Amino acid sequence: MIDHAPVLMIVLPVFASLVLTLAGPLGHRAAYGLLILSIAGSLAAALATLVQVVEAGRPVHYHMGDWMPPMGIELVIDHLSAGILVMISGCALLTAIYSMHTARQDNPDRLHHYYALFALLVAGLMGMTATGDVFNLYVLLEISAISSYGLLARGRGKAYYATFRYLMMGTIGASFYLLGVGYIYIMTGSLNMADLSDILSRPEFKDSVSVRIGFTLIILGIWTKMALFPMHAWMPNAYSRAGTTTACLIAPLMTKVSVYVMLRIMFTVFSVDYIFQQIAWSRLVIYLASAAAVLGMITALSQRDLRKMLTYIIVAEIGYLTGGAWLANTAGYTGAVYHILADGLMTLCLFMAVGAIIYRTGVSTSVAMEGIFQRMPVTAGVFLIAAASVVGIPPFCGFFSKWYLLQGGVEAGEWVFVAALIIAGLVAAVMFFRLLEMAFFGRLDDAVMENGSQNAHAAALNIRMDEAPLTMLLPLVITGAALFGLGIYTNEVVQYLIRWSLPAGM
Amino acid sequence: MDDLFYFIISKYNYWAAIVLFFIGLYGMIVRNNLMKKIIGMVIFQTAILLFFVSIGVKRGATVPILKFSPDKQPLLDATAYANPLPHVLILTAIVVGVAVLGVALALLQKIQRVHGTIEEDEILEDMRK
Amino acid sequence: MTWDTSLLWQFDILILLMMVICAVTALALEGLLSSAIVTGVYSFLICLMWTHMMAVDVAFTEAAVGAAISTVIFLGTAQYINRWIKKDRPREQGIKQLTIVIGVICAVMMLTATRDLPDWADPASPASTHLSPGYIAQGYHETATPNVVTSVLADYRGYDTMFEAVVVFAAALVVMVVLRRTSHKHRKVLHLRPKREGRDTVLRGAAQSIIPVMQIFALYVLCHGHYSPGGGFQGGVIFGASFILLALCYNLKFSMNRFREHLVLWCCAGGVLLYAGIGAACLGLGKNFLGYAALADLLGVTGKMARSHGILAVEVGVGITVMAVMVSLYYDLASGGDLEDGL
Repeated sequence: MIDHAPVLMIVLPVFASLVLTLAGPLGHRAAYGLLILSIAGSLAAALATLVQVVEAGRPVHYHMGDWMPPMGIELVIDHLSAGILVMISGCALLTAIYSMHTARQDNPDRLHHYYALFALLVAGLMGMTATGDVFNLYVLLEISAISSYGLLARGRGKAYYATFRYLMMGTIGASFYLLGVGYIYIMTGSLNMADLSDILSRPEFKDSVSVRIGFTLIILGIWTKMALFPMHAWMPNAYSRAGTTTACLIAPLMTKVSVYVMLRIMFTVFSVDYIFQQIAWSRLVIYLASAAAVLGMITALSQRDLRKMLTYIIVAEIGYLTGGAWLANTAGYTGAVYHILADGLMTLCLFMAVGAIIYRTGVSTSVAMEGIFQRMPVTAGVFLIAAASVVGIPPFCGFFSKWYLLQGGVEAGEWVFVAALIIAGLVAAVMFFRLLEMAFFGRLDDAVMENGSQNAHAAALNIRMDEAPLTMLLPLVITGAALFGLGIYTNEVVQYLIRWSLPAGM
Repeated sequence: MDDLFYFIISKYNYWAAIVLFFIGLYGMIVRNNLMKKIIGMVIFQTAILLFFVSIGVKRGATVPILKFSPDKQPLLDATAYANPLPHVLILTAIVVGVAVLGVALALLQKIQRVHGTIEEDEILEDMRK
Repeated sequence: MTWDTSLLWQFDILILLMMVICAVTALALEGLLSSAIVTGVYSFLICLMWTHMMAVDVAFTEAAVGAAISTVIFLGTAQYINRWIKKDRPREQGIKQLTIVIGVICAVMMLTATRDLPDWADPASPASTHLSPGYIAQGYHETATPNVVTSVLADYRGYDTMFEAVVVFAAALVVMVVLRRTSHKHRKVLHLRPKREGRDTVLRGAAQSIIPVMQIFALYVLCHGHYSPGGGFQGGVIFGASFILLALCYNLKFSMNRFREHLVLWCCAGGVLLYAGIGAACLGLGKNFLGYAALADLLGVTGKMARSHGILAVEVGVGITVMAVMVSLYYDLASGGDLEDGL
């Protein structure tokens, strides 16, 4: 069975979603259980593969339908994708557990269909990460995209227009990717990543205009999908209007998987030499990334809506990741890959904490933070950990990724990026300090006086311990612990996973 | 003159695909009406499909279904058949296209109900309220 | 340089020009109904183009999906939206003009760069020499399927096709989840749909005579996909279209009495379940996922024939899902989600 783990982690959620579609009569508890069971199975398979990859020290290949690549489709799980697969299924599992109350609150009807889409989204993301075929990646990209449209459309009030815009941008991104694949295919005749990399390393493709157009289209498509500045405008509205569970699932994972795809295309299909010698846009990309980091954080600072604030933090974090990947040195690459894992967990943690606070207070602006330390001490504590990690305080994982990224920036002499990282970190510190000040010392009376909203008033009346339910608290605490754990084991992660995945020639 | 003729003849398909691609993109980004955006999306996607199918054409080749000689032996000469791989990819992509179209139209109906309009600027005004 | 005139380039250029004209017209027209129809014409033209490029399976699919189903769901939606566009406002013209300028520059760059692409229809291009000869040369020996597109679709790249079925399934689910939501207050419901009694004798007579033929043809297309253009996807769309035709000629209720909402949902999931189930069965029988050769012992045939049968079985799965999804999309979109009355 262990040999089939690579495919099982993708098809288990697919089977679950098919059964969940028909599971209406069984009630929501059965649906909840089934979802958790399938994603736990997926996580187990991902962990088994991770162990296999680390022990063997080489990638695991799985040939679909027993066809040898490049004729057939293969799954390739190397050190990079194994880590990300565990992160995806782990985050999805925690969100699934967390969803018990919030999903029912957001979906008074058709909860089982909501869960079916949840499982499909996980399957799509896992499949995108595991595949070794550029066209298969497109199909799975569309699966994750379509299921995320359904999940986001279930959001609050005016989510439909935000979802529509997301659909338009998502389709543009995916279609650019597809056209890019077309350009690569017409020049090489292949779709398998390993095969493509062999063919593209031939000297005649070094100066080929068509290959360059193909690469440009693919990268532009992925940037649109991952909301790199200035193509981020669709994201804040779509994510901030989403239901709590949807936001916890989509916000940490969708963009990170797109970053992973970018790394795959850059370093597996193309090569370090091609990206940094032939294309040589890295300076420009790093400026974009720096702008994303600084402007994202500053915009986040100016938001009143908590979830919108967190979404702008993602915009900034995408800047860190992109910058790191394009620095063209080991430290930058290590920082970018490590930050995919770290940022996935941080974003999940922040969204979960804020979701719990919104669930209890019913307020989604920063007023909700008033006096949270008295009322929800555990949630607030975990929020503090996540905030410390985003700002970059040791020993949490956010510190280490920033450390690597800064080191990479200094080595490459990209002072703009270094400055952007530092400024973004300071802005994040100011932002979280303001929030935490409200959380510690917030006078609830003031909040009522200033805002006069009924919800704030109601919250003020209930000043007593009012912690989130256990199903929300448990995943939250686990994520907080994971932030700490990932920080402590940074060396191991870098040594056993990231070092192995370093692209040749870096 | 012959060279120019040959050049046009050997590229016009790609030109058509690229022109349609940008017409579709124009519809998706610039048009204000959401239905027009969706129509733009359809054109945009089919342009890419046209590009892919163009890759599969071979001069003098026929449909990729094997022909048999009178003694039931298949004719396996690859130059006699069009390249089947782009066709397979495009079948998949057409399906993806109609799936996205269905979702977009469903969202459009909901937008009309919630905002009372499908003009982008009016929706934005409505959301600001 | 000689050019093989059998490719009829004049015909191609004419169709491509008409396509461009249709695309521009569809975007320029003020009436949304007419632009939906023009989009249908556009799809039909692209079918012609593809038939001419020897991509018969693709043209078949586009005819069924693009020209038929897409147009119907466009028209279904047009009942619930404002049918006339308002003129573009002068606001934000600056940004839009900038976008257009950037677009034109990119277009010109890409058009000039086609110089570098392999010549169209060149048998020596990389795409025609790298992988595809392998499929043509080995496909029949390994899967006993003369239609190379079918063998690549359902076997060599069967994993893609499974997810293609999942994509349509997901779309049906999303449309259901979006439209059939009852808990929201809808303030501005637009009801343009006519009341339909379904008493038009001509339409009913036509439907009665066409629908059985359509359904038999759909099954033929599905089962004969190994030997001729067609397969699960095309067969499924045609079968689904027969129920849509029923709804168009009578009314939605009439069609729904014959193919109930509940059954539609079961078929949507059931087809994919069949596909993925066969994949998992192969896995259980000791081969890799979707390795149909594992079914050889079970079916008592050679590995090659087992692959051929496996292809048929998954095509049936795709057919069931696609049929149900097309019907489901129509039910939801044409009735605005309330399933009361349709187009």
